[in-house]
Amino acid sequence: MEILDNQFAQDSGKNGLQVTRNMKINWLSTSKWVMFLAILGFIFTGLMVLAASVMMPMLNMILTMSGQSELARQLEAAGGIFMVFMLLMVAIMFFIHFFHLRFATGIQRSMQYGSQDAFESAWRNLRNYFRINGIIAIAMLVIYAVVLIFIGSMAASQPDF
Amino acid sequence: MEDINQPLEADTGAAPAGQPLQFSDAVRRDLLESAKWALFFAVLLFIVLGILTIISLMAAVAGGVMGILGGLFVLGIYTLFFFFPAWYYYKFSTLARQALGFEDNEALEEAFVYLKRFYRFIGIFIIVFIGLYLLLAIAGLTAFISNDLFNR
Repeated sequence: MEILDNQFAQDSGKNGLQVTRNMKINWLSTSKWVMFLAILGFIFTGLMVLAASVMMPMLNMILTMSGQSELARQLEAAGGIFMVFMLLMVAIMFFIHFFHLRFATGIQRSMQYGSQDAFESAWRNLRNYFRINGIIAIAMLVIYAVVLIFIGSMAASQPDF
Repeated sequence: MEDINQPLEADTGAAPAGQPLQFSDAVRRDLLESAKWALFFAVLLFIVLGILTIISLMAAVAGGVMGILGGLFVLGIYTLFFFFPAWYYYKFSTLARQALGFEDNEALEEAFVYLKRFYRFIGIFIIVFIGLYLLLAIAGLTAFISNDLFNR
């Protein structure tokens, strides 16, 4: 906050921030890397869909071959849950990379055509990217905490566990 | 510091063509939120790094001389993986918030440098990772084809 003392702090209020040449150079480089990450992410999402679509028939085949045991029925239920989980994961992954892609293309377009709309949309997409990732991270932390508490309480209630 | 930067009437209409890009209120809001999330991730990454450091130091102490060497090696790798992204995120966040709060253009430029560095690091990291993966796959495949793997 020592920066308040420097000469730029006093001038021009809300209009103090300008897009400079250095920023544009950095954005260009950033957008290329982000584009790379997004495309890679889409490829991985596709591979995940492929893996899921291969795994589902295999799981079904194993279930049919194993006959009608108690275990088979439990596995079938687990397979359904697994499928829903997979779909959710794929959807989330898709959106994460989609926001990245939109950020990269938006920034590039805004610099090429001087489009303020593309510029604003790019930063909105970066914000969405951070938001979705942040929510996932918080959800994971909460799940970890719940699981830890659950295991802890189980261990506490059963001394030989 | 955030209070200075609260959005006023969001006048975010499209600028006419030919005008330079503006840090409009919408952009400022989005940047500020991104910066806050970036700080969150930075702290998260630092915490993970701390936990990994404790674990590998414990493993190092438990494992004798080889354990210490191995533990330090693993710790070095973890530090490499986690420290730089966390640091870049942290710098991006603090500089961007400083820039938005105090209308500091130089800080904003610097913030975007760190954002670029973050993505560059992750990109290079992933390229190296995929390269190693392919190398191992090729090595495994050659071993498999030449039947060396099973006829030892």
